[in-house]
Amino acid sequence: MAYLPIILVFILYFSSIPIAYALFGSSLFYFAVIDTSSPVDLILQKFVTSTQSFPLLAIPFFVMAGSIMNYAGISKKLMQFADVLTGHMAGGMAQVNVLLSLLMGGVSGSANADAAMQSKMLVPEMEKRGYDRAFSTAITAASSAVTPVIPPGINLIIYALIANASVGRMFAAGYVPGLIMTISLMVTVSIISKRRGYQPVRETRAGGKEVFHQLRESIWALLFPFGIIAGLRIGMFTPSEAGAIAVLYCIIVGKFIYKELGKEHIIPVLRETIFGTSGVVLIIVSASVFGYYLNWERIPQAMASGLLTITQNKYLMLMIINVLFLVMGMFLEGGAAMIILAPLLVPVVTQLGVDVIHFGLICIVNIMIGGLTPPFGSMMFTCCSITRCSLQDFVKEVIPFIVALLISLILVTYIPIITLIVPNLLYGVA
Amino acid sequence: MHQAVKKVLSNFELIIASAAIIVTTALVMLNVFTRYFLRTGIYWTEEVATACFVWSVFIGAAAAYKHRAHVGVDMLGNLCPPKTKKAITIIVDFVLLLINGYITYIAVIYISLSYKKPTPVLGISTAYISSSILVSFALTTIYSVYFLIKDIRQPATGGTT
Amino acid sequence: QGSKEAASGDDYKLVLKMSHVFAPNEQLTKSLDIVIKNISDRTDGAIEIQHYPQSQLAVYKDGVEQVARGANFISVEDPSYLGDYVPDFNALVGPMLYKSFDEYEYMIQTDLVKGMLKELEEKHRIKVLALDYIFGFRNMKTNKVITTPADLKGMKIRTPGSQLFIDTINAMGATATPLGFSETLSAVQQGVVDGLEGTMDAYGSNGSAEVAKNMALTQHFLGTCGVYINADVFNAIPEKYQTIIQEEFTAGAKHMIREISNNYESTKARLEAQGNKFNEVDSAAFAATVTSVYENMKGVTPGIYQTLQDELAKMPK
Ligand code: NA
Ligand code: NA
Repeated sequence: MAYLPIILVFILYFSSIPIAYALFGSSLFYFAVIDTSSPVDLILQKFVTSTQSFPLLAIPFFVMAGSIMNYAGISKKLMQFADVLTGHMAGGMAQVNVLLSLLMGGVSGSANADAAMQSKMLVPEMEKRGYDRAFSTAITAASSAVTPVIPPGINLIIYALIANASVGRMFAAGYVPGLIMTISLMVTVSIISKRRGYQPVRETRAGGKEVFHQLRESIWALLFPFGIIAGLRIGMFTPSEAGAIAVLYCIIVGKFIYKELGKEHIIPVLRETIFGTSGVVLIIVSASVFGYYLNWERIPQAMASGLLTITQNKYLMLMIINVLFLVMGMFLEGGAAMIILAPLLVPVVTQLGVDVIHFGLICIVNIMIGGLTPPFGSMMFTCCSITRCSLQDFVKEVIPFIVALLISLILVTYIPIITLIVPNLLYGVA
Repeated sequence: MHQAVKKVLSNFELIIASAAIIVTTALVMLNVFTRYFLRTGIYWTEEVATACFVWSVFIGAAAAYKHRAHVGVDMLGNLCPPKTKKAITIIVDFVLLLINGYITYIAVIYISLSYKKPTPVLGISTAYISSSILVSFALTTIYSVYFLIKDIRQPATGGTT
Repeated sequence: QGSKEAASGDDYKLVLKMSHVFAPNEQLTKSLDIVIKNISDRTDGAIEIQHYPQSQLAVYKDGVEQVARGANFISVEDPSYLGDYVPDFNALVGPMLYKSFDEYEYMIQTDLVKGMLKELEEKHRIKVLALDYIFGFRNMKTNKVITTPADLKGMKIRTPGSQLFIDTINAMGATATPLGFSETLSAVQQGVVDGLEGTMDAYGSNGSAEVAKNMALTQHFLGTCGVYINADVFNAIPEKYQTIIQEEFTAGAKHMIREISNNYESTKARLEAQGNKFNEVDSAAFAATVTSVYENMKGVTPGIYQTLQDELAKMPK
């Protein structure tokens, strides 16, 4: 009986009930019928607490920023500069998409916010340049997995608190794995683009003079990510507030510098922000309600303790944990999966001689990959609901990127120095 | 009815949700400004900003529901003949009505028993926040009834036989 | 009918879920793990308490609400959360009231507090199993040395999002800045805020010593948690098990206080070796600043601050 909601959620899921409703429906069924030891209406506590969360505000802020960028001509200027740099390469625009996520990694700690902004801002531009929608959506989702691995990132901090590890070391540990994920995605983009013939938009590499000219044209658009990073570094605002500052920046540049933003854009921007945010957040809320049920029944804990008895071999154990995290990442929201599983796993792996920081990065990369996979990956939903790409098409296109990220995960898992080199250089060997 | 009134009525969820998200954004900007430049903070911004965000999300979700814009996997429908497809559509409509109606029902119970609980910072009733759930799901319940009736009346079409 | 039958039978079984915000490596979680194991052993598994640390289930006001509404739930929270039901609990754990753990231990045995507990149980069905899971005094953690209220002027100090904390930090002279803990460390590092506040135990374990090098021993709050269960849920448990549960939670608090006291000096010494500094403050000056906090508390008995002080004055030396 305790497992019935899991079956129910799949039945609802495949009978074309919206995802949020599949998750709400089966969790409510559990608390109304199966376990009534707590009054059923109290599940609404979870509806409120999972929405009334300050870090979650990054989603509407970055969606709004992305939408303003389109109307204010900032996206266009950014794309023109990208064309000059990468236009001669096959799949150049898709590479820009990946690089922008790496850059956004220094700004925000939320993959969903990054995915939402770029779905709004880059996917339409990519479609204009001949990329198909599903491919553009897939690379936007896949590259957003890099954002939380590069510091700052909420998951990096949550893990440091759980594992009693230094936040500074944890942050430092994110850089190289984030870069490896970026490179693996770029290689994949390049292979696919060549095979599909995503044509370069220009014949030859741009000369220095042209690059410089376009740089001057696009400077305000380029300052967007760098300006925000600078604001964070001088202590003007926190990563959660960064999104609101991004909105302000885009309004000022669009209105007073590019002079393309006008009163007539207010309603479309708001409309896009509301539709781009509420559907996504509703799914996040429903997933956290479902996660509440799983946790209430201690299902992740049961799975973890079952799997942990299988082996005492360090490498095999890491493999098992990777599989466990991937499966859990498909069902639970990233932070929740970490809070539930990490306390169970950290003592086990440290006993086998795995470094705490190293293990943290394994967990986080894993959770991010889970966010891309059906049935309930959150970045998958974020991107698909904004670009209106069907899930089936998305899944077909995202598979090569998931494979690329899995290769990065294997590298991060079995070559500890990838994770530990930067923290060891900065803070000395632990 | 006057054209403008009609427009406001048909978009009223979007108007409420937009107003809420504007307040959220403005408050966060204002707090950054006062804290960094005036070196004093507005201690209640986080609570009010996130409360407005809750309203924006749930009322916005009702607007999305009205436009049938929530993401789902439409697998069964595409594989079935028209008659079966219509039957599935009606069952799905009915299940959605059930879920929406049930959440509305428990929201009434929850708010009537928890409205005395004060918010942590301002100490005002939490019902100011949680009633967004009631309003949102009451609206989606109404839309569910509408969709159910509409789909029952519609002749069986579509699908590939 | 169910409880009556169960009370007489030997196959009695009750599962209670227990939730709080503390991390697995903090002393509170460790102490409660021992309590849970002892209860399970002594009741032959009849009373199973499932432990959910780090906000995995309902916490803060939501956790206490689960208890008040009759869920099979144990909430472990700061007694100020009981203030939503009996406002005087806000004053009981108000700022600058106690100078030692013993003073608080004495206070919770007084008729004053017993009367508050009675009202809580009779009117709101919340039974308190313990009030003294003490995790230490809360102090200021900054990079500047703080000795007087004037030193805090213009300093932005991170607090949890709670009225009592915000009012207290503001009264002490600083600007209270509510932030989630997940953002706090980088906020202190980048200078978004100038410091935070918390216990020695937390200073040594949550990374705040890395970003704020100085701890001013303001002791502005006594950090403590109570353990709450619904009165009807508790009364339906067979009496022999009730006794065991009560005994073990009482013993658990004693164990926790011992551990926290033992760890205090060793954590301090370890942090000093790492370059962190500690300083005493002008306690009287700080105490004078917070009286307004008691005056502004909503719904408390008039003159509660004086009443609490009078009770403390009666404590045998
Ligand atoms: Na991207
Ligand atoms: Na990041």
